[in-house]
Amino acid sequence: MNDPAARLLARIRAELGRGDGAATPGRPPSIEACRRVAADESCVAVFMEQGKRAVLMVREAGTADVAERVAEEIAAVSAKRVVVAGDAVTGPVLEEAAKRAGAVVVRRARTTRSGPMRR
Amino acid sequence: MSAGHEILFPRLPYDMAPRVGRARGDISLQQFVHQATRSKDAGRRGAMQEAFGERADDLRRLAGEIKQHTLDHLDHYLGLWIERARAAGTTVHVAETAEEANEICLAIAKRAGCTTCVKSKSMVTEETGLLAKLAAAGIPTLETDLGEFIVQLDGDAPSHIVTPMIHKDRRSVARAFVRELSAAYTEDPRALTMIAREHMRTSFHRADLGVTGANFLLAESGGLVLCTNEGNADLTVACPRVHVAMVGIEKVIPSVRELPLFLKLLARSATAQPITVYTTVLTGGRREGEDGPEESHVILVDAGRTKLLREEARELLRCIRCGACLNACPVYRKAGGGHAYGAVYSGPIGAVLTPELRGLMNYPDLPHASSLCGACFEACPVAIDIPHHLLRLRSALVASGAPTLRERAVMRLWGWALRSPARYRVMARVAAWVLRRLADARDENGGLWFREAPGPAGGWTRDRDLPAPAERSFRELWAQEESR
Repeated sequence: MNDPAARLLARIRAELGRGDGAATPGRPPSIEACRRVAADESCVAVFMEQGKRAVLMVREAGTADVAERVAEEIAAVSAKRVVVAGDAVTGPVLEEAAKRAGAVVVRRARTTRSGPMRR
Repeated sequence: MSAGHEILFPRLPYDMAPRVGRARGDISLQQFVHQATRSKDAGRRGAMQEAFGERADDLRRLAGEIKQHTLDHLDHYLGLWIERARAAGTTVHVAETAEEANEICLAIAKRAGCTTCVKSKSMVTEETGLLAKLAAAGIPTLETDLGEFIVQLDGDAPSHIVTPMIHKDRRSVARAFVRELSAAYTEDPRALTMIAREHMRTSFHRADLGVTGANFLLAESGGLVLCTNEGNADLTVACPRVHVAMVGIEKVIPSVRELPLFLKLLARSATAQPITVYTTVLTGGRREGEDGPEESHVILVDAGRTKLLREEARELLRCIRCGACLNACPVYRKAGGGHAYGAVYSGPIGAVLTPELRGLMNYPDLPHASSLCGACFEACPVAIDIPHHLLRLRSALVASGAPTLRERAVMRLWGWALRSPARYRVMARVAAWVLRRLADARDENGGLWFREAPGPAGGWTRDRDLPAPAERSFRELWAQEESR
């Protein structure tokens, strides 16, 4: 342990919570993964009113499974009236999800670029 | 100790208010910083949109994931880099502290008999205060980045990660060149650049020690990547007989395959360029029949970084020092640039990195130097959620008992009111009624304003007016809208 480089690597392992040896990592994320992400991921946000109190945000999800996830979330908090915020693609998906969960969409808002709904 | 050093290393705990107060009253400074940051921020947005369109955010996320992956396995990637760099002929040193990094650099210089140094821009050497150390040992250093050179001539300190002289205009540069270089007065940027170039060329040829940082380390090859727009880092490496690169341990990325992504994002985020003008990959020392330094050293600097590897803070080490978050930040702009932060790293990333590296209780103001608007997160090319870390540090300050008795009392009252909708409604109504009666001005539409707000709210109206609460609350308007 007299080698400063070995001491540095040992300190790093200690902070990473690993034992003595370096874990062999998998391959780093690749550009190909990015292309897939670009194809099916978009930003969505859902504001829900349960009584007057509950506010729920789903900040990011793939549009493919978002309707199902949002419907589950709405059902979980027994929301009756839902304010949906989404863009031209995600808005209709969210509205459909809310209706599927038996809630009434009382308002449709645009996603904003700042504040709590910021992507 | 120079004035510049005092700016970056103030007495601790650091109180931000006096410097911000002075900056707020300096109209010229406000204009320089405002214009420069606004145009750079707009340039970044345009360059990202033009190149990547809708995929810009996906690329930022991908770059963040690659850095995160590297940090999650830093022992592997850094170990690999050390092994490959040594095999390629680089002498690798490791410094646990800033002081140790300086000692190592000084020892290299002394052993090689170096007497003068040229240096390209490097945040780590600012962090360690290397120049003062070399100067104290009789080795003068010339900054070769144009911005840093001007800052050095003025005995000042850099005010921005990428554009260190963001707080100066060409007139102050012209005056510094007349005063320090005996040059003829000119405000022409090209002529000013030529004066600096002529002065630096002599120093490049005379220097026997060249110090650089590095933008990236490539684990797979043991390479070191340097990006500059002036080519000064390349001359700093090539001319002197000894090259020392001082590099933070977080700079490593897996291989050259990932490099193009980072180069694209770095240049666009920093200066809205498609790529930095001079991008150089150095692997090992000089080879047979080639030019270059006789000795190639890399000092890997920890200086508190391993402590940031803990899970809650690890993301901060993704930072590639592009300065995009500084340009996007309204607080950095109003504070008159980086000097207000009292540290090497300023702006939003500095507001979280500095307390982490130099102690939260030494910089209790910095986590509050943000409106939490999220512009920094939106600008960050490696998707660091800076607002989250600002809130985390604010929580830590509260937990440590830092807030005053008055702040705690106000927050307790606020919390009590928020726990019940009825209480909140009553208190909001009472507060609005009282405040509307205390308002001391009216605008042309009859709206009520405060020119001088009472009590602690007076801080707000020192520099701007404060609107009085509206006659009817949003809740009341909403209820009316629904009943239609």
